[in-house]
Amino acid sequence: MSTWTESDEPVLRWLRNQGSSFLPEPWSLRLGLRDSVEPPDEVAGLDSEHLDQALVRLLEHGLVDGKRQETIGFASWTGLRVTARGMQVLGEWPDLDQLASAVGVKMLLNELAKSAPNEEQSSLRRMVGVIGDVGEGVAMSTLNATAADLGGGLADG
Amino acid sequence: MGETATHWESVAMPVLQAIVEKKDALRDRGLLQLGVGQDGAQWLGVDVGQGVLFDTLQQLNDLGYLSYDLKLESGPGALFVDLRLTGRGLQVLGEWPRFEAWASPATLAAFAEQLAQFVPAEDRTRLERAAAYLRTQAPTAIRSAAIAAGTQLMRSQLGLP
Repeated sequence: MSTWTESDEPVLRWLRNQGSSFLPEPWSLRLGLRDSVEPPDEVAGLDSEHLDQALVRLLEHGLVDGKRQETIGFASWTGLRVTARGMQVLGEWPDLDQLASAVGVKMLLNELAKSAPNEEQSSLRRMVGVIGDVGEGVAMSTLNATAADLGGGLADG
Repeated sequence: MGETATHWESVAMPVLQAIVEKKDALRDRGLLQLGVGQDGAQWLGVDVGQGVLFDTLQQLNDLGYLSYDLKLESGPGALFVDLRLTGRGLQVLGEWPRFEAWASPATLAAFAEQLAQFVPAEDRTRLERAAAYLRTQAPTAIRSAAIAAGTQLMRSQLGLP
């Protein structure tokens, strides 16, 4: 368990499910920064202060956007939203630059291996090893040529 | 790894495509309006709520796929002035079908068979087995796995578990 799994990721998912903070109706968060202040909602079992800290960390990582203003004992958040990078971290948006690389293809095969039966799992993992053995440039050229033969392909490798 | 469409496939790509299709009309109007009495989603022809469209346009802008000048109004309302697809956005619209092509069961299976030519006989059988398995997978399952793989890469770059 870590701050990410216990706090920051649940807060990111919570924000993702809140909908727009501007349309159709604007909403904001006013979070108490003292232990005695109750959070506005139950978010991952966090109190107001820890919710605010999670949002600050997510903002620093570029996973959320918003404006934070602090007054005595309170932090106010407006314009909160999950960024594109946040959507990628949540698995909702692809990172096309990464996927078009040998590293991306190897990660894809490893991901598929996780849900494959034992024999196929080891075959897919060997395929990952072969991509490393033949060289990533050769592997990507081969994949690109194969996709082009079948009607697709990545334009510039 | 589910087979449910991601937000990218169900919302972001349709919004990008709608902006391309409406580019002449957008240039004539000069802006896209969202808010009370200004249903930009309906005008664009995308089946999403205005709040979802508002967030999605900003997310597409985060990655440099769109360009605009955003003005917020009380009401509430939002004006996306001079909204247009960037060169990067156009590139992505071209890349996604190509990504779908290579991250398909047929292409990955054929790729495994091609790789088999480079390896010793004992590995060849395993790659052929991998090819047979890949052919049985649903395209959506492979796309979901690819997106999950990209997510893992990004998380590791950010130092996240």
